[in-house]
Amino acid sequence: MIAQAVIQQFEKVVGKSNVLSDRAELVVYECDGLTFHKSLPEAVLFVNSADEVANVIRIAHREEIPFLARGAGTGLSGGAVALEGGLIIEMARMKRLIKVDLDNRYAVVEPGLVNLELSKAISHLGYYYAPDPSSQSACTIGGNIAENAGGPHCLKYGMTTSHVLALEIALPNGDLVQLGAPFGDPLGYDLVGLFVGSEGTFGIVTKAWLRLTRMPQQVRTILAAFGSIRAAADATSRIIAAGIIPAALEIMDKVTIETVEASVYAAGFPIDAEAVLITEIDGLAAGMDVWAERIQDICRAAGAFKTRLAGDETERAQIWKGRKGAFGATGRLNANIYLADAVVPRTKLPDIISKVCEIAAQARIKVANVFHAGDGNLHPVFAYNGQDKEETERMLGACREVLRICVEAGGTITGEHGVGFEKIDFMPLIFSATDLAMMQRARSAFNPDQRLNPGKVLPTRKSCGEISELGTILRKGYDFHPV
Amino acid sequence: MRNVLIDGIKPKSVTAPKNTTEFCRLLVEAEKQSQVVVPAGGGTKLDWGNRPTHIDHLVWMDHFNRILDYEPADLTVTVEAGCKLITLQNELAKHGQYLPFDPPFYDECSVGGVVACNSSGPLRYRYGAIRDYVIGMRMAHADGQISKAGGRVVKNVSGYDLCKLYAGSCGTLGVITEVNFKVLPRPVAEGACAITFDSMSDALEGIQKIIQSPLLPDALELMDAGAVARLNQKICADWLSPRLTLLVRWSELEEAIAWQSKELVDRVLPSTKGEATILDAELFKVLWPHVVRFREELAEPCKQLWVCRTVVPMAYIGEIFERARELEKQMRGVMYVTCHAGNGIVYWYLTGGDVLLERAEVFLRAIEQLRKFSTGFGGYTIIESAPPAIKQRIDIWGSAAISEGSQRLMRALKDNFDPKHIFNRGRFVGSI
Repeated sequence: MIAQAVIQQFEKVVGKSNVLSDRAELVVYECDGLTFHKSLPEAVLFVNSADEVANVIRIAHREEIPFLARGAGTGLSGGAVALEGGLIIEMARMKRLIKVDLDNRYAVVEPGLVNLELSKAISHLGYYYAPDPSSQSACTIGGNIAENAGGPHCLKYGMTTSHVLALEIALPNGDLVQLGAPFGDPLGYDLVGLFVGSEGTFGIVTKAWLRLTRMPQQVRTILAAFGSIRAAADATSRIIAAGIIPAALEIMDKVTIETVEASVYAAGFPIDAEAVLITEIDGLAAGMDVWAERIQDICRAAGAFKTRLAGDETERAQIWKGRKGAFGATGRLNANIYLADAVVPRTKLPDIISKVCEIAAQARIKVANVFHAGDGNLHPVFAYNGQDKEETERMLGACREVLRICVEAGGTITGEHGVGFEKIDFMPLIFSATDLAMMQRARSAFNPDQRLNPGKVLPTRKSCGEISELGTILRKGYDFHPV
Repeated sequence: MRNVLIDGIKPKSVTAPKNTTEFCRLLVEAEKQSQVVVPAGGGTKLDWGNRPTHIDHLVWMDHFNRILDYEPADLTVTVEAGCKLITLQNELAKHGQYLPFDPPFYDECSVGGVVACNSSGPLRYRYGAIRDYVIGMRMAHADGQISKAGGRVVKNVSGYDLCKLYAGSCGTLGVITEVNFKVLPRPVAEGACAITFDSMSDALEGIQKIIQSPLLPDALELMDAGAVARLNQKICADWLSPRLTLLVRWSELEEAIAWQSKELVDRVLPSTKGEATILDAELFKVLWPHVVRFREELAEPCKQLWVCRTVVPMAYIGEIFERARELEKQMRGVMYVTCHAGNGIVYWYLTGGDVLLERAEVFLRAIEQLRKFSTGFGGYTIIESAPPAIKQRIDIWGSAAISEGSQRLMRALKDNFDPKHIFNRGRFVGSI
């Protein structure tokens, strides 16, 4: 337990009303979007400025209290869970948009700013912030940076890492450090590039310089209906092979289509299709219709029985509402759902999806498939009843198997949700002890005492040598609530 | 395998290991004895960095030159570090694909060297730096271990993104032995426009107008009159007017290129003082390779070629051009200035005879003043190439531009990855 005297020191920094240490109040912070494993922090502090963050950390450092930062708590790999108790520093109140510099096309923001709020605030200038994770109406920039968040449109525009120019961070000893500059190339090591995606284990972002993207002159969204997932996946390969890099290429299977259409997210997806492919292209108006026509031709050649070009912005918005609401909609499939995340080389997708369906069928678990087909990122959603121990076991077995076949196919264990502690035991599946030791070297440079967000990303030495059976995490019943 | 002098220093041994086993054995020995190892790919940027005090091993990656795995349908390729960039580009071209980089020394540089230096050219404006295309790497470390980072898929957040750390680390953390890239389909058509301006302020205004317009250029290459005259010389014609010129390059569908050229002339430029000439396809094809190879072609006839790179926010580009002009007068050499204007990266090339050396003081003072001027807004100036007599008197990186906290982190990283500092000892920022 954190001593009362120390709590008082924290209160002095952030104000008494900004410190929670009552058990009942702390329960909200026992997990993030991955509600599978819960662990209570000993205190939660609401901070309002970089200096407050630094001062709080200095106390925690001196008192040897573990701590971590939390934004909106929408993460899906348990990154914001206080595994060893200690302190959660809640960043959500540091949400100012400090500056917009259009001459140099960047914005300076505080980490608690919600992703979509940034785009909304600058849309009248003809600019937006490109990374668009499905939770973008809730998740914060700080969390996006920690997780290197993706989203459907990162196919063309890149993940968060391509959009972060410079950072001010608080190191685990309380030093505030500026990394990088908002123009040119980094001088010295690319600390910003290394920091993005470090899952809150290197430092806490207190300010970020973000690249702004000009809104495209024109956008075209094409919906194609297929008689099989394989045909839809095949169409994506053909589109890529034709030399087109769409802004997004998304596939949803029949189960997903049906659940979406039965939900508030209903977007008019054809319910007689085994799969739909959403292709979005954007850029200059000149030549856009040529591409749109070519994409529809390709889809038809790959077996699409119906293709439709979104007629206007309303129709386009509706398609995306359906797509981004898909995870939410699948909540109706069973008492609990588990959203998996893995990547394979894109040409392996058709085979992998067939195998995922086989694996689920064998485990007698209902699965809905939604995925970023363009970059080979699968998100099978497994529906199960968490009260039923035996069914939960079967579901977890299926998850393990899916990750295993993805790695076997040359893929990886997470494309955008992060390792957190959820997939920590899977790291040895793709990385050798030496590979992991190098990651540890990087972490030690920032976080030598491992006091910042302990127990995340890297397996301990013990589990390193052996691939443990998915660890304790996946055995404890799972309960996912999409945001 | 060549023995070369690096800033006048002769390496004690020169090797080209045949495989990783041989290479790692060398590293283990070197580390044991705390010897200095300098890795080399194409050998085009060996003089980047501070002047080494001594070199025990110059290690050429010549035998690591294979393209290991290329899946055109996946848009990914795995290549050994010693492979020439041009060899890789030629292979990709067979499948209508490419890596959108056009770094200096395009014909000679190795893949590993380009990644290690995060070296980029005009295309950087639209396509980003090389680090954005690296999806995986294999590294040889000081203790002789081989590790991998990233993977072979285009989207991957499994573990820390060490590829970002290694890219641009100038061979100071380990030696890249393999790189996995994501590649792009080659655009259907390419083209460019040349816009001339009377003054720098007109040019900067024009550039802003283009950036804020719907146009999607690949590159915004600003060149001073001297540089344009050099291009004319190279193509043996006077197609370009030798004035301050902005070259705007596009690559899209033909319709889109035509539309952009028209939009530029009809709508974007009239509100500026620029005069545009649309380069016909023939001229573009002849001209552009010389824009990309500007630096190496300058090196051929010159006795002395001193190259500096200054990075500033766009609004200060004019100031840098002016200071370069001033220095040209003081040095009594010939100065060429070019700039990736959309990124604020200015290259200045000072050429002349050995007489430049007599004015070393003037040069060093100018660099110092420039650094003082630009640190206020986070800019920096690197001396990429200069004779040893200059380099031994100055920190070529201007490390003071890096915040103290960042410098501490960089030193910690170096100590953790290469505790005995065997790789390129003392040559990187902060004498890392």
